[in-house]
Amino acid sequence: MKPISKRLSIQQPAVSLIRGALLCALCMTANAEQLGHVTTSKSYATPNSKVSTERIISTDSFVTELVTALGQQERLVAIDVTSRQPPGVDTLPNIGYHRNLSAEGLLSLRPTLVIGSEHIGPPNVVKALAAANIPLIRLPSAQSIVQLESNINTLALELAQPNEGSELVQNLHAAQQKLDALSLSLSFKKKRVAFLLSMSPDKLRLAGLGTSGQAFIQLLGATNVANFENYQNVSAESLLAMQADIILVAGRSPSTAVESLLSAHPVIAFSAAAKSKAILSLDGSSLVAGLSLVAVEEALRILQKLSINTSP
Amino acid sequence: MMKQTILTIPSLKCLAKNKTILSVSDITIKTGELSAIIGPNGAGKSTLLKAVSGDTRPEGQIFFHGRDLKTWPAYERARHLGVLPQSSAISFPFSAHEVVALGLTPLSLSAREAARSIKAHMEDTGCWQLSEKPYPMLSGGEKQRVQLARVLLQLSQAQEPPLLLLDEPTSAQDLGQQHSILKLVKALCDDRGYGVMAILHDLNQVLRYCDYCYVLGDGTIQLKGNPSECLSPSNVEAIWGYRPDLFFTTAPSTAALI
Amino acid sequence: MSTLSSTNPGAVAPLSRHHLISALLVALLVLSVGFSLVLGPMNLPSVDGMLAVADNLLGTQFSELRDYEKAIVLELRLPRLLLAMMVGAILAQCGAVMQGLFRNPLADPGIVGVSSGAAVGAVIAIGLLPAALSGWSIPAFAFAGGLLTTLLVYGLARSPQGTSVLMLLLAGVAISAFAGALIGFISYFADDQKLRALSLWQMGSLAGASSANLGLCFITLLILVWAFQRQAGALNALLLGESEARHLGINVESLKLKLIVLTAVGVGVCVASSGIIGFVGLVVPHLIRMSLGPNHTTLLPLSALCGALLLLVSDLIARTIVQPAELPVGLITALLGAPFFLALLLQQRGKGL
Repeated sequence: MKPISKRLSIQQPAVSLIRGALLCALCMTANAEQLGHVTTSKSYATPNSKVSTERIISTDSFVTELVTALGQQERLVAIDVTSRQPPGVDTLPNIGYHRNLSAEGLLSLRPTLVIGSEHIGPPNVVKALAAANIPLIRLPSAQSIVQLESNINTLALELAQPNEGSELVQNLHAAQQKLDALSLSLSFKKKRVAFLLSMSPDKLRLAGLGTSGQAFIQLLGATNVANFENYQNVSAESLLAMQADIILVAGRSPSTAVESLLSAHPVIAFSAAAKSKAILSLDGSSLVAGLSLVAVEEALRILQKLSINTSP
Repeated sequence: MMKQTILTIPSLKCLAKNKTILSVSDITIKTGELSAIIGPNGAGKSTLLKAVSGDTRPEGQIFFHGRDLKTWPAYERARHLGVLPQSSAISFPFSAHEVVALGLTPLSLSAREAARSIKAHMEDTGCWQLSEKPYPMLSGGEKQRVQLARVLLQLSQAQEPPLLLLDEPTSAQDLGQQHSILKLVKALCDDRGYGVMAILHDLNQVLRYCDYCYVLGDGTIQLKGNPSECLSPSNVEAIWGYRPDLFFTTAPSTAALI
Repeated sequence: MSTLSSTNPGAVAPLSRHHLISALLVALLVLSVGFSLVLGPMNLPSVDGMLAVADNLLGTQFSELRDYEKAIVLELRLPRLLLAMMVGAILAQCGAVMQGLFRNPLADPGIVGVSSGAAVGAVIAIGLLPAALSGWSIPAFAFAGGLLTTLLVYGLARSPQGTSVLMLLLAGVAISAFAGALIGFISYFADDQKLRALSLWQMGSLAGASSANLGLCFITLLILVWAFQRQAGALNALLLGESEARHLGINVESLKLKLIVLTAVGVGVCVASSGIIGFVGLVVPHLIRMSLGPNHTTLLPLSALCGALLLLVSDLIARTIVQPAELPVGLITALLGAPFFLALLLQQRGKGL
């Protein structure tokens, strides 16, 4: 199977702001050099150029992923703090957190196109971009494969990459078919899934409705055990009571996530999911901004693993 | 010299939690008169002083220069009625000079006059050499003199003879300082016609410096009058529960209790 | 001791020092304004940046910047530096007044509950109201929350005997804790995006400078500077103690109410236009007091100058240090302020402070 995109590096889904700020500070030195390089290599934007997508700033990880997947990594001049993929982009200037952008910071990179999500802010950034005549594309972060596909199509059009775009969409369709087939064969429709966000080992943060976790469960074709909105902390006892068939743990270190969950809450070992070896971890960074290509891949991986587990 | 009445309290009642803690009547302070408020702890001395200084709102009336004290405009009253606090903890590093300068608050003086007046009052109370020192670093006695300079400055523009309230002015002082402050206060009465009401503990100081005394006990005035008449050994025993020996010094008017 | 009556050590010496420090602060402020105009992620010619401002004021055409570059100077940097100066000045003055009012050099506008109340207001606006309204609902709720909480604390601390400073402080602490719980409660049920908006808001940023909040801050600053300066003498007297101030002819109760309301308004306006920016109100008056003493006549105006300078420099750092990204300015003031403050406290330890 051809991977849709490579695995992301470790990234916590809900980036706390302090951490974001620290990340910025850590990236600072590297960025300063990069910035100097970028701003001197190109002096001014070329208004006469036919292609208006010369210098792109991506303000969201899913945008960075899609731009890269469309083969346009060279055009990126800066990325946001959540973009860590693919290797190489993280050496680009970092524009910080997409809700708290610096208008002048963006302009200083002399972009010809800024692509972000509906959350881009503060408002004066949007105003400043408009004043400087820099186009801004705002894509909704994907909560479904349909939205993901539409984002790919939009970007393929904007970046004039129809072939790359249709290839991506085809891959996505192929992946979805596999997902559906696997889901059917495992009769996932009846399966109840608990999606846990492991931010700290002692807290059980369960994904409710309207979350990326819910989107991921839908990708698996299963049902969410939670019927509340948003992420909420639950006790181990109430998690047991929910009788999930499958427990998914999304964290920064997928390799140890299950282990640390069980050591922090030994009682979960008595759950039905644990007995059928259906506690699985996945890369949380694939769901930072809705569904990503990596998330689709993770869903496939999980279904495949479960089908191996269940086959004798 | 005709003595003028500064303060009269026909009748006064102070309540705390619906209990009467002070009930006094017929208190009069005249110009040039140093009156002592004495009595055991809890007798109501501070309550009386606080009522006169306006810190509490007692029942009854206090007449100050013939007018109800409550009807005096704040600044005008401040120019005529000064209070020397028992202790004043200032956590901010004001210099002694700045503390004295606060006495200018109710006054209207030009900068020149103010500077001269500050200096004069600091010299009067013997604290001019402390001008630049941070107030919080001063000793208890030095603080007391700085505060006195401040209060005297505050009263320096009075049109009527002012009233000075002293709350245990000698408490933080050594023996020499105690007498120098009382001498200074006495001089204010004698030379400038101040009326002074002072809470004192040392009965010998009362005997030596005061013209009149009010002996409080259980919130009422037990005795009042000339200190040497009031403070007989039997009276002292009745009020403080200690019978002193009475001596007369060679100076005919002065008695001493031991 | 000099016998000349004109040599007045108490008054003359600090006067010249006061002038020296004022001049120094003004010079530094002018310098920082210059730097703030010409420095930024965008590398623009300094002279042209300055000229752009002159052009805008005088209608001339000296600057050779392109239009969008002019916009960066005039619409991004200039409003922001003005907001930084005004918010800094207001916060520092409010801090100075609160410290005088509570007779506690460690008091802070946050202590009477303005910051926590404002935060509750903002949390309600972010968490419960539609995001589309957030442009006005967050500042409005922050402001209302700050003012209401302050009045509530003040009401709790009032008694027939007057306002007890101890009660005021304790009530402030209790209300702040309650506000913290309310914030926790609302954020518990907030979704991820709202949570992020919330924590971002609580760190404070001057990026939202607009003509509306600049105008509001300017008017507030003018009123506060005037009203506080009028009460400078009364604040000095209050440092003696409440009854001492009363004996000096000051209406202490009305003074306290006036100052608390003014401070709540000042901090509320700041919080509404730039989120929570800590330490300016605490550190700045302290610095001025350490160099010039606690006299409010000089403390208040110099605190305003120094607060403007501190926040301006902090914001300059915040928007350039991680360029092209930027840090919340509240992080910078806390990072600069807290260790500096500790160092000063250690230095002053044993000096009778």
